[in-house]
Amino acid sequence: MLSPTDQRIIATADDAIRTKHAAVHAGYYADDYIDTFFQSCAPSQRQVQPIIKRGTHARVACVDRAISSFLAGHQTASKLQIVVVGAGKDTSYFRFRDGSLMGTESNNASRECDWYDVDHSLVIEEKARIIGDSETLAPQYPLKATSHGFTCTTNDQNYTLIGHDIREDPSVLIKKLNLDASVPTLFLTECVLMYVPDPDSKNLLSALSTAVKNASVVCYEPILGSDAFGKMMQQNLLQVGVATQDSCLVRTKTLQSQIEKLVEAGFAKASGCNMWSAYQSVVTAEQRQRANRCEFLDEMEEWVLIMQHYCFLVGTTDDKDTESSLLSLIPKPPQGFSMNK
Amino acid sequence: MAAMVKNPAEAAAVMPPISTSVEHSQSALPLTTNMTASSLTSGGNSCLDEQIERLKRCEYLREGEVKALCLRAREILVDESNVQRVDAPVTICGDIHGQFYDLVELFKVGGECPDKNYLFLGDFVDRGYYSVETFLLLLALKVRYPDRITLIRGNHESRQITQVYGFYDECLRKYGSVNVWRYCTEIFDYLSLSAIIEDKIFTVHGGLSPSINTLDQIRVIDRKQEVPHDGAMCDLMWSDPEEIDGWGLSPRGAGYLFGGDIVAMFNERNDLDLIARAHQLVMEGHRSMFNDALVTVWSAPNYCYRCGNVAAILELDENLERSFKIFDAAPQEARGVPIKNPPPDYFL
Repeated sequence: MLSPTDQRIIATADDAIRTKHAAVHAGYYADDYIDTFFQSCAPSQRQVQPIIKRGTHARVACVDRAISSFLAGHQTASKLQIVVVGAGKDTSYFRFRDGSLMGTESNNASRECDWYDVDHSLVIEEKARIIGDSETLAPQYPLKATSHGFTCTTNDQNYTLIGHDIREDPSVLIKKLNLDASVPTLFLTECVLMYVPDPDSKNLLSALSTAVKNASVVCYEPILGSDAFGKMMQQNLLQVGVATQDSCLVRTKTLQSQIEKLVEAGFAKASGCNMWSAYQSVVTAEQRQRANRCEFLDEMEEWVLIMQHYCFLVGTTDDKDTESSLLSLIPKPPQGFSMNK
Repeated sequence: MAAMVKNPAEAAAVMPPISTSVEHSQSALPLTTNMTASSLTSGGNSCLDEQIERLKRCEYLREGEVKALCLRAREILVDESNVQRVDAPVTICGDIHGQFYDLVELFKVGGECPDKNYLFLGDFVDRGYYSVETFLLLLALKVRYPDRITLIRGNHESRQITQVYGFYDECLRKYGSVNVWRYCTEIFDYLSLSAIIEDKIFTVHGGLSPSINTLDQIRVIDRKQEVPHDGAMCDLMWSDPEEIDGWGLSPRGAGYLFGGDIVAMFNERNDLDLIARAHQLVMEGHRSMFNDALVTVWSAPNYCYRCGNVAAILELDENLERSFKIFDAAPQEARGVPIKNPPPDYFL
């Protein structure tokens, strides 16, 4: 039996697809699979605002670039693993396989990489159904049911969907994942930890950092801070019912505390910046120019504000960090949370 | 907000061509009418008073009433100057953006029209949930008390912008057709571009233009058109002050950034004490720049129901002494019947 909060959190998978669909159709970036997943979303009358499309593009551009950097940074590894925690109906895997991730360095698409999409079993079941019903995806990714979800193997690469409620015991998740501990692994979380009670988020991150020998993590999360915009954001999101007073949204409010959490969880090297800073560094000039050509933005102030209230975090357990170029994505010096002026 | 953009040229967005999705070359309102303005609505002012009362309850007018109101408004606005003269005392208000209940709050804080003389600096529509009611209330007040309220045009009073930022959709949703949007956007073309208070305070929605040195250059603009993508009229509605010397490219993709030296020069040349403008969210409601030669007034509290900011109005007394009144968003209980408005968007 799902609580209203559960339902609302699960519905955020559709929110993300809806905004990505709007951004793609406004021309911000290309995603050949977004329509397939959009069709399954509950219909919404709401027009997606330009500021949301622009910010969604920034988010996808940053995460894509992080994936590319991870793949490019482990050139000597014969195999890699990527785990998207709270994947929802995210299309990254299909874009990775067809080489259309933004910022993909050459040959990445052929890198041997096992990919795991993790989300609530209801979301995972729907995702598997959408893939199975899709004329383009079904033949390429013939999913078979497993005890924890679905999987398929194409060209020796595994794509696995795992049903797991991330608020539950993370050791169960690690068992379900059954990762190869010797393989460098990237964990991705986008707007996932924000819904989770703070202690649980630490346990989850600790479980991820110790699941394999060489673990990297990339997070995209809100940072409310203590200013008026952040206070209103907290009030609005609590009212919508996606988070409670115990959630990381309310408990981990600053860039600094987000980074510290990663370090405490075992990602010895961690860094981050707010999304306004990431927009000018991780997002490329070319991507920004493309965004500017799509729609013009009438409110710079609001755009800066909302971007300052999200962050892009990277961390790795590889304290030598000889291969990973993930950390180099973060602009130097790492920028803390500060309001403009 | 200084140095938000490393390279304005790179950040400058390109304004897409005016959308052709809505035909607007033909006038929705009759170009001429044999009726006198007052006969357009039966009952004249008493009828108007009744409409104002309805609008103050956030009830919108019937389509026919909107058309009649717009016709009467047009007859008044067509005679206004591009630099409309306004007497002090007056209360200057910045962006409203369809936040109807916050406009009601503004009148509570600042005093009712016509008891008080008001000057609104544009951006009545878009973003908020009640652009229709907000604009029609202000327009009805304009028609009823033409000498007690002045409305000038903001960059959102535009066919193109309203199709992206909400007013178009709201009209369609509330009326089932775009007729009301057509009537209103046609009236937008008649709104004045700026105002001058007692020859000393220049007010405009956005700011200055490199094509404009004197107020007389504004006076000769043919304003009865959609907001253009560039040129003097566009700049007046789109430009922003910035801590720079001279002119800079605007990150908004329209208008310019202008520095304190430009303001000083403009004020001296036109014998002005102050430029009062709106257009930029200020978390504290108002911000003075360039040794008080320019002030930004922002009148939409908790902008977009998301920003958490306070709002301000600028009161000028008969000696042009300035004082600000700060106000918060209208409390929930003042927002009438709880209507299920969608929560503001975030990245989730």
